[in-house]
Amino acid sequence: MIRFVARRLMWTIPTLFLITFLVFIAIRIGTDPVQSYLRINPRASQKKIEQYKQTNGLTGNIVSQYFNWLHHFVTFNWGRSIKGSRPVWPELKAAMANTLVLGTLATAVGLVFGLAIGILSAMRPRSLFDQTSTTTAFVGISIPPYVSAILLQLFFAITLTRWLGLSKPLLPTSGIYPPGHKGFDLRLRLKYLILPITVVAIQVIAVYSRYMRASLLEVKNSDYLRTARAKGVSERRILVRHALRNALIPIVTVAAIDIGGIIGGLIITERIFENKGMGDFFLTAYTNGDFPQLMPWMVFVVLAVILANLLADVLYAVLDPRIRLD
Amino acid sequence: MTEIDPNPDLDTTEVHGADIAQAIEANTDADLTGLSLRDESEGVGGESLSPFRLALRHYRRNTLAMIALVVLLLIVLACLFPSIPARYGEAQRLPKTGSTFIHAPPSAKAWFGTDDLNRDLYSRVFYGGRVSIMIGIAVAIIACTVGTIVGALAGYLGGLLDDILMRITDIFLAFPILVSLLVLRNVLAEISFIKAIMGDKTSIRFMVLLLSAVGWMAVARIVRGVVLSLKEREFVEASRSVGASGPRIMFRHLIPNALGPIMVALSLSVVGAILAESTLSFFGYGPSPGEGRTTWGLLIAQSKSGVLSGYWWLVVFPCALLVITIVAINFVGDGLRDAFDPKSDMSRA
Repeated sequence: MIRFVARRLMWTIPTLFLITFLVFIAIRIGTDPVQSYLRINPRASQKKIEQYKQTNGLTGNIVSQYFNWLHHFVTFNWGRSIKGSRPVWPELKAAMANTLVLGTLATAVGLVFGLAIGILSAMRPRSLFDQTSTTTAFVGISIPPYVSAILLQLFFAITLTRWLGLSKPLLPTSGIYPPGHKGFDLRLRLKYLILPITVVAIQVIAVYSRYMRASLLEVKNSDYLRTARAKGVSERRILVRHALRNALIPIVTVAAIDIGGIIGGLIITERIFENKGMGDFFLTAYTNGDFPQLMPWMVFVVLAVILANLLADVLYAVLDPRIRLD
Repeated sequence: MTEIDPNPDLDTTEVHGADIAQAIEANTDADLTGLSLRDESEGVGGESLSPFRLALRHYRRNTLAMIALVVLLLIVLACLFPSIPARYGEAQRLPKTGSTFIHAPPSAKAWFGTDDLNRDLYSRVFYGGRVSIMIGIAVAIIACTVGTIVGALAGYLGGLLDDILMRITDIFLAFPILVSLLVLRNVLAEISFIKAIMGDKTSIRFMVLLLSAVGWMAVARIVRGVVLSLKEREFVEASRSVGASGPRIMFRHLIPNALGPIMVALSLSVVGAILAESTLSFFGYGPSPGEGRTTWGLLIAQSKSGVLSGYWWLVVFPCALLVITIVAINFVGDGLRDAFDPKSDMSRA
């Protein structure tokens, strides 16, 4: 197992090289860094432009530019954003922290509800509960995150306030803290997180309740459950020890691989609720054509996806004794 | 977004087996081309139904899928001929309604209210649907054609082509689809010979080709999987042993047997394209606004500024129509999958 993980981690390095190279080329072709610098800073002097080119290694041909960038990246010389000339790393770090909080909480909430609904559905297939939840999940999958986000925003910011005759909205609909707030306040933080979490969790619940239902139904028809039942194992024990354990194996791996989808949902949600995370960071950088900000962002996303895939493989082997990694 | 597969329990490698391939062999291409147009009554009582008439009969028994199909057809017809349901022109500004010049709430004069230029939202929703649905259909056709050909070739020939296909799709699937689309959008707009084909970044043609450029990959992977599992089957081997050529095996056996999954992929592609277009438009990277270029995504994007002012109708109606359409297509796709899957009755019990 350790050897497998070590080997896979070693493979991560060439993969990262290759993907970052392709992404570098794509971004260099798509957004000319010097032009977007001039668009943001129209009155930049020739000296400033030269300085910008030098600090970001934008000299020579495109391959040597990549290695210049790589050198700067590895030596932690990350440069400054082209808009406002702010250092990249502190903002990226803050964005990552915010996204991690939102993403983890939303995924956890979504998984708990989604798996519970899926299990209840599969226990009584074709019951009223099953049919309602399956149909609801289907509708949930069909609602794009920005639609649920904007509808929730409308409902909490305007509709509910009017109905209840409140002086201010029941739940805040944008930001992380109220304007001017300083320091950490758990209660406020959570209050501001409720709506973004709901939006992301809706997607997770809809997807995973269906996965769980399908997976458990498949296990329920398996021979080993019939054997267990024939041996006189109680229904409760069959469900918990035999059926659930096996049904969860595919779910866990899917969940680990699905990180790209969750990041995608987060980008949209963060932008609408002005939650300054990785998604918001990316969209702002993309709009500005902010080359110094875009590349590190890409590296972290690629790294997250690669590690999640590795985690999926490891979990698969840990959970399923039939699979050996070495 | 399209990262989410609405049919997680869909086993895309499910195939019907040799008997169906033989039935197709016997029934000639007429059954393949006219599969949805055929009257069911022809087959009733007949001892050998073609798989597609069988699927059709299966589909008709599925009440939910039939309702979804009717709803979908109504929406599509209304949107493809928007001048019939619409009460005003797409860009027509209404005279003063009630007490407000703009942002009039729903009334008898403007059923869904009016926007910031006092245009009738009810009419605009259909004009928006026309472009959104046409983008969805165009992308699905291009993506499924390219995806089927590439996927079938990669699965059948294997080797280098297969490796290249898998690596390219791996890289794209590693990123959230919104990120892939945005980065690719800039790249394609900068390369001059591609720009000549795809047109300006803000044109509808560019949007269709951009979404197709990403959309074919999912289809190719599905078809590749089906072909991989089919090509070792006895009926393909039998066909090969009597001297059938590669293309014949491909077009007579492999692709027809993959039609079920391909049709499901087609419905997923339409959904994916409509959602991706509306997401890009929502963030301001869609086709530029103008007469004949209104999309649902644009309508929802324009409603953003009205949310905090309480112009709820601007948000609710376009969102509702978009979601109803997506739900209907998903239900139709689900029904298709069940209809083409001979095991579906058991596995979904």
